[in-house]
Amino acid sequence: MSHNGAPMNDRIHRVPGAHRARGLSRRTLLRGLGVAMALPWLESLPAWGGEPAAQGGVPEAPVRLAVLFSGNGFHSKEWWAKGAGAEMELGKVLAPLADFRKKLLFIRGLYHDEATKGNIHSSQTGNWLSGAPLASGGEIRSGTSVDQLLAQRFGDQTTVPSLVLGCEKSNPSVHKNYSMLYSSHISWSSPTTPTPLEIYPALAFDRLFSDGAARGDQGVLDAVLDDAGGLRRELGSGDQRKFDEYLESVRDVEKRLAGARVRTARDWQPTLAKPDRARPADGLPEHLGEHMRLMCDIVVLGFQTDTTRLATLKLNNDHSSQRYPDLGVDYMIHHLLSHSDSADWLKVNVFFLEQLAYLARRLDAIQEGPRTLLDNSMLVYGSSMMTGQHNNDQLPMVLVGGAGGRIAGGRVLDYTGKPARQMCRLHLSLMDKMGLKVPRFGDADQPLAEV
Amino acid sequence: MRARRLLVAALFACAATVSSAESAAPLAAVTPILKDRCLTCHSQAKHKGDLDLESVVADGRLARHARIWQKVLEQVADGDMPPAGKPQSTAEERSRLLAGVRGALDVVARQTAGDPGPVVLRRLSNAEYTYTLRDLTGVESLDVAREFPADGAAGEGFSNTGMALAMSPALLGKYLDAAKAVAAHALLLPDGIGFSAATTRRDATDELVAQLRAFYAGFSATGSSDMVTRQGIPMDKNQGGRLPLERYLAAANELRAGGDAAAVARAHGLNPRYLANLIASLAGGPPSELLDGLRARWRAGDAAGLADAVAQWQRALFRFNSVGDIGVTGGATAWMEPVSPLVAEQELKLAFPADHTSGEATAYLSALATVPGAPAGLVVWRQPRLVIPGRPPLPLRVARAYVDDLLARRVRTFAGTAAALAAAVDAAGDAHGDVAQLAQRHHIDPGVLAAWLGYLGVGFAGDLALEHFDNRLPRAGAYEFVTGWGSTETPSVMANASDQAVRIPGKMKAHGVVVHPSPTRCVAVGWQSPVTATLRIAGAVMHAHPECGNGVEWVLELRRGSARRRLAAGTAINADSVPFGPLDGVTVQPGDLIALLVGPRNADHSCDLTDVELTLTGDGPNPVTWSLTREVSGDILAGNPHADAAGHPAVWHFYSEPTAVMSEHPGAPADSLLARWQATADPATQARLADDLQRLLLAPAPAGDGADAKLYRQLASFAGPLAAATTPAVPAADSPWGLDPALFGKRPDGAACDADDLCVAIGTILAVRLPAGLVAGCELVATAACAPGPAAAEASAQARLAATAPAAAGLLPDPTLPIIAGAAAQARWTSAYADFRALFPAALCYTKIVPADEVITLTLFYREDGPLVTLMLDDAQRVQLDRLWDRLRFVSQDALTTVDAFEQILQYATQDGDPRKLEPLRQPITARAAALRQRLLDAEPVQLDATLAFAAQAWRRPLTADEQQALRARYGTWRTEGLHHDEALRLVLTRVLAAPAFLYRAERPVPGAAQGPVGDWELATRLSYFLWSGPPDAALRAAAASGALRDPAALAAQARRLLGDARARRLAVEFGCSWLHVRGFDQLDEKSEKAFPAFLALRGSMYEESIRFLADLFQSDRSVLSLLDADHTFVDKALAAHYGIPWSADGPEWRRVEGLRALGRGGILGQAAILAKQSGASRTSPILRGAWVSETLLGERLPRPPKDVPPFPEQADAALSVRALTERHVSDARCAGCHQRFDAFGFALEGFDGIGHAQDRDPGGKPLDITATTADGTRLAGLDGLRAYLAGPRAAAFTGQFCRKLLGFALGRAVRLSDEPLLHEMQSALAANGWRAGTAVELIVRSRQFREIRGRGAVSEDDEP
Repeated sequence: MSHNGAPMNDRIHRVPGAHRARGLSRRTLLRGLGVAMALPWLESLPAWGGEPAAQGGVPEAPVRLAVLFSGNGFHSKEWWAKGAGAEMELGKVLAPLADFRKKLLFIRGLYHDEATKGNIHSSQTGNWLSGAPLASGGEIRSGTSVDQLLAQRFGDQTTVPSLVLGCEKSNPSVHKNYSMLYSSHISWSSPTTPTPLEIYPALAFDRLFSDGAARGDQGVLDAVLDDAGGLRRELGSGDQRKFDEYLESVRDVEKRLAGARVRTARDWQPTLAKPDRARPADGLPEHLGEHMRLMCDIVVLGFQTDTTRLATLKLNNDHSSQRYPDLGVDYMIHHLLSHSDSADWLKVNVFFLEQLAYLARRLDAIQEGPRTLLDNSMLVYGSSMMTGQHNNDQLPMVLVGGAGGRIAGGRVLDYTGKPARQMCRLHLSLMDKMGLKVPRFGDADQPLAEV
Repeated sequence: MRARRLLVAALFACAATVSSAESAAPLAAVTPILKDRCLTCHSQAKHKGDLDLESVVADGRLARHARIWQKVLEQVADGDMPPAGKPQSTAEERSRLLAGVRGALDVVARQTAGDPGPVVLRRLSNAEYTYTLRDLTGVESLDVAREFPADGAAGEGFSNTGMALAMSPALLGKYLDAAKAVAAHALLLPDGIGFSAATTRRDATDELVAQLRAFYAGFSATGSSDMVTRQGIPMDKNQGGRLPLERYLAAANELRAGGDAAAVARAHGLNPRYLANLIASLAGGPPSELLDGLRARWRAGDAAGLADAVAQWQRALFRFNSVGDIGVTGGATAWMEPVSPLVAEQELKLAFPADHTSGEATAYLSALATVPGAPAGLVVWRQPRLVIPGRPPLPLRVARAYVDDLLARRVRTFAGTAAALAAAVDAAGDAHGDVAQLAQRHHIDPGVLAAWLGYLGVGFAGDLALEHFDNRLPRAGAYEFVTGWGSTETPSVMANASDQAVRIPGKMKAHGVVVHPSPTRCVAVGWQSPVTATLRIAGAVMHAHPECGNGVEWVLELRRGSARRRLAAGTAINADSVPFGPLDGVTVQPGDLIALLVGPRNADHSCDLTDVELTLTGDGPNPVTWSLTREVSGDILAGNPHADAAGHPAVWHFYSEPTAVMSEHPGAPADSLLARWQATADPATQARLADDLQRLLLAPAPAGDGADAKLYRQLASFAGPLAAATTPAVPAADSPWGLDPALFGKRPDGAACDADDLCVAIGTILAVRLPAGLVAGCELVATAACAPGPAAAEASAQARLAATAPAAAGLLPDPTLPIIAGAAAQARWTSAYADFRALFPAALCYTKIVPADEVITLTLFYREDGPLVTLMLDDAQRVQLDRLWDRLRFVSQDALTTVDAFEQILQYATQDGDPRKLEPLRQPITARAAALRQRLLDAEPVQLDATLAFAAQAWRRPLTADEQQALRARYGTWRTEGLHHDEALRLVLTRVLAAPAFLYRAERPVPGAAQGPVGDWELATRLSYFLWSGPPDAALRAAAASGALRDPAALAAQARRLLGDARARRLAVEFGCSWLHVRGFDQLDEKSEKAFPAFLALRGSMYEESIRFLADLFQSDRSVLSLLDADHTFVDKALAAHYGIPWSADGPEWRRVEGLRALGRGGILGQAAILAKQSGASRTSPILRGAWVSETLLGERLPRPPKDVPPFPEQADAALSVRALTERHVSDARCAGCHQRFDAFGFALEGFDGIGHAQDRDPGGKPLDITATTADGTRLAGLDGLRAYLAGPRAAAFTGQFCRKLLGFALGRAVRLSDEPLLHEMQSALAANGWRAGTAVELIVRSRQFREIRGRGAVSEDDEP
């Protein structure tokens, strides 16, 4: 087994196939699910899938997943698609995706039942990628999101298990009896841990490419890990579970610093070995569009160099207070604008879809063997409500990319009125395309057959 | 099914087991109502809205389902259940149902009261982390969490709740980096560690210097200045550190009639020690020649005169030196040095202005008594004389005769002008003519003619009086082959005999010749012609040491007799060679001199080594060329003058002249009659000009600056070229000029003295009149001394030589006017000066610390503060000052850097600084460095101990022995791995700050199932993070260590103390602003720049107002209701303008203002931050404001808005006001039910626009309606009405909400049913104590919830689903 010449961390002996042989290790359980209490949402141990099999002996690039989110839904009249393939007609919101009609799935009618039970906004958003019930009353509980479940399974194969990015800071308050954490985080590394967001492009870039361990780092980590072991024993059981976030984080950083997170054997070569652009400037870009595009660029870099295969990019919060002076729309923040359903609201919607189109275009320009990087990816984009009127009995969702030939694009999938229209079925499909088969996720036990 | 089971699990509420029989009793009575009205839908079968109330009722364990019952209570009370369209309960049924459920819940609440509840492990929030680091390090600028992911909120809506505080590898990486960043701020000190805003030694040093300066500034005044220029760089060697004399003397004036000096000092911010000392010295003390006069002024109340006199004497008695020179050979010994203006004799000079040519000039020789009525005595003026440039001095004794003679002779000379000029034309080119014959031929006096010819440089060469160098420099710049002439200092000329270019340290070319001027003398290299020829002259001047210095000036001139003709001039500054010539057609006669003069620029001669070359080529078929470097560089010491290559003796001359010759332009002023005469060859024109010139000279002196006026002055003065020496005849008896010769050579008592001396009684003033034109440009010089005699020892006088008569007798404290005194008088004055200096030092301390008054200095930090220490500091201040200095020396390590600097400066030593001068510094520098090295080593273990002590503070508890051992071992390992002490120590700090004990507020559960007291240290931490969002301070740590906190009264007392501290401001931010949704308002970016262009500049002030207002609530223990009805707030200038509050220019930046209610504001409802936050980007939003009042202030729960509410146009419609728009929007029946519960609050606030500015019209221009009716039928009008409503009928709801939120913040979790009794208790206590906020805080910290923790074995299935 090749380790690309990098030293193995002698503290953690990795046995090839250990996952399959032993099922879930304690470590994987912690990393994957945070706490055993989450098990009801993932009742049985999943049967792990492997790397995508190479077909015909030709090494193939893996499937990548990027999930993009924006809050407060879209224009009530202009989010639609009809027809198929190159003749597909698109509503004005989706117009920026016109070039990708043959590579997209427009999915109607899916929803999260649990998201309809609370109040509005945060309670509609906190489980967008998990379908889990949300705790109210100032508590925090959702479910591990689909991207993090994948990261916990496949993260060892890349230097960075997943990227969790955002373009708006999270909102520190409780709204209508639900924490606004739910509004600000689509990625959850455990049911009680919203994955902290990176909103600074430079730091996101560092997360991917900064490996420099300074002298003494290892000693510091060893020491605090010792502390952590001792402290954990003294804590109550509830706190121990919370504290495991720290323990696991230290181990993760330690592995990264020790260069131990060397990918497992890879039988294909990414098209880029090192980033081909400079580290972005420190701080936040002055213009929002520039901020979003920089974050997209970082996702592209992560995928192209195979530094990560998973990314979520929260373009704004649900209940967002972004304004758009660059679009000439600065008289109302995003959230309140969503209530107007006006021409300016449409303009802002289009601006968001342009970001998705930008990402798709960049990925489509990168050739990986017979396919483009876009063909090898799944870009999922949507919101947690249909329009600004908080209606979430069906959710807007669009998927661009071919999942390495596993998805045929150019189609409209309409689940309106069908009984089994859980959004979690789409999540099961996404995991399936990535090679992770689980019997159940959230409130679904079947992937969407049509996807 | 699973989903439902989990939802139910999530709603479990209480931990403690409660007897179900007891709690179920009140409920049993209402079960029939439940059955009828609720269980039809919320049944096991239908479980409408995910609620199976049927099973809950059947289960009977009320405590387990407390949350469900709380929700039932809420929904029924609000009238949301039963829903519209379903059978409704009667009013009686409803109230019974409510009473039943409430009663049952009350029982549960009482049973479980005081339950600490499940508090999830808390990571420090970003805010707490930042505050904690600031408190630990004392560095307020530390903000390493700036780019951390934002924290969320949970519990009661605060980000100090464990559930909302996640950790991830990415975040941990940031914590690690942040810990390193903080460790980089650690300052290694002689007695431990400290922290600095800086991360480099340089910046940390600057910080310490700033601290020292701040210390000094507390006592001294800025002011005074004494510029020096070094190598062209102006520097101030005398700035700051002044005794603030005026302020002390003003205070002294107040205390003239007695009084409490200490109180006056306090009132004026003066130093009490010094003021008391000053008063004592002014009021009494031994007699003193000097102080007595000051005392008299003080007693007379002449404050201004006193201050003036003291200031003048300070100038006379102190001198300030360049600190950079201290310690070198011949350098100063201190920055501020005493000066004694006492001398036995003194030379005095008076210069007559060169441009003052008409009328007469008077000089006054005065010798006045220093003290009125002092013993009489004699003063002798020795050798009073006129010093005339270029002439021997003229004794004043003969001045009268001389002047008489010269005035007469000048007329003769001027009358012969035309004839002399005609003779000069004749004589041109005739080197061997005879002046006497020529004079005879032109009918002119030979002496007059000779003077004219000399001046014109025509004909006969006169003597060149050159000041040749006579001192040989056999080995210059340490090279055998570099030799020269001149002073070992400067000026000098040197030549390099070798083929090798060397540095001495200026650059010396192979076979080059260099010169180096002194500040006052230029160096000249002259070529004296051995032939008659017409020359071509060329050469170059190059600054040979361009790395420093300000360059040189040079002049090339032709000299014949007393005539000088400038051929070229310029400057050489940088490394470029400045060539001159070739100049063609310069005609010379034997004896003529071509000279190249090099002088310093601006009298600054440092680094002025200058490379020179001069070549002269003759004419004719076989022209000869002379070259300075070729002919001289090989054997410059062969002679001065030096022969040329052809063997002509005395061709090359090396000499120096005063620099004055460089700046003067000898010869006739351009365009003057004489210059024009010289320029023309036409005999007729020459004759006409000669006649005109003669007329000019015979007429009265012309005024002004014209060329002919200048020419006149040049020709007419004593210093002029025509005033040849003469033997004066006996003066006319009635001559008005000079002094009577009979006054000289004898004393008033008749005894003889030197013939040229004047001896007069003290008190005598002699006036000497002289023709102004004649003495223009000359000086009168004399030396004054006390004349020997019987009274000489006691005599003292101040002698002056001035152009004006001295004012009335009296002592002038002028350092340029010393006192000439006899021995006894000198002793008296010396003692008086010393007394004065001790009391009135000009400076208290050297506040610059870093001297910048020399180009090169070895002194990095200079301490001179003796007067401050002696006069003003008490013991503690002395210790503090010494410690600051010690830290500066230790941190800067200047003792080590000086060692290197010393070696470098030796290498670099320039011509103006002989390296040997620095030798005295060597030994002290070496010794200081060795001492510091040892100290650095000695401090290592001390610093490690301090780091461990820091760890205990960071971890908020004492370290265990194992932990200490582990930290030391870790340090040791790093040292073993080769890390320097500094690096290893910073890594230990990093490790401490990345540790869970720092990042988490871990609390150990008590053993067993029951709750029990949390540990002492954990309790101290709970308290400090509740009130300060930061770690316990020393007092709180001491209380924790002693176990005192276990006493609730002691804990409450600590809480009160913490609330009064400045850090309680953080409670205002983290609790208050979070609760009211304005936290981080200074970063709010939600406002349209078009609609509210003023907002960006105002938002910081708006936020600060709310913070200050809320901080004041806690710090001043005000009423919670004052949040609503306060009449005061805090504003700065910008906010005052925003609110229309008058502002006066003087006063602090932030002020507390009263009378807000009269302005239509008052309380949080009128605060701009609140009003702006609950508004849209471009307009108000009555809905947002109303919902905020309802939910945030009153704690009401609003149900979910209906789906598919109609869109709401966001830009104010021209046709409709915001209010009308809102009313239309909510008129939809699906909306109205809820909106009527809160919109009225928003309408009442419509008098304020989207950024809280008062408005009486809608943006559309329509009048505003600020009246509204609440859901309970109350009519509200504006903010006043809303305030009255909230603080009146709704006061309980408001204060209840305050208590609930404060409790949630304090505990870090959501409030639970088991907290209800405490909340009730808080409400009652508040009511009984004037609603003072401190009461609420005190009850919380005394509560069991706050002081205790659940047991390790507590059943927790219901708390943590």
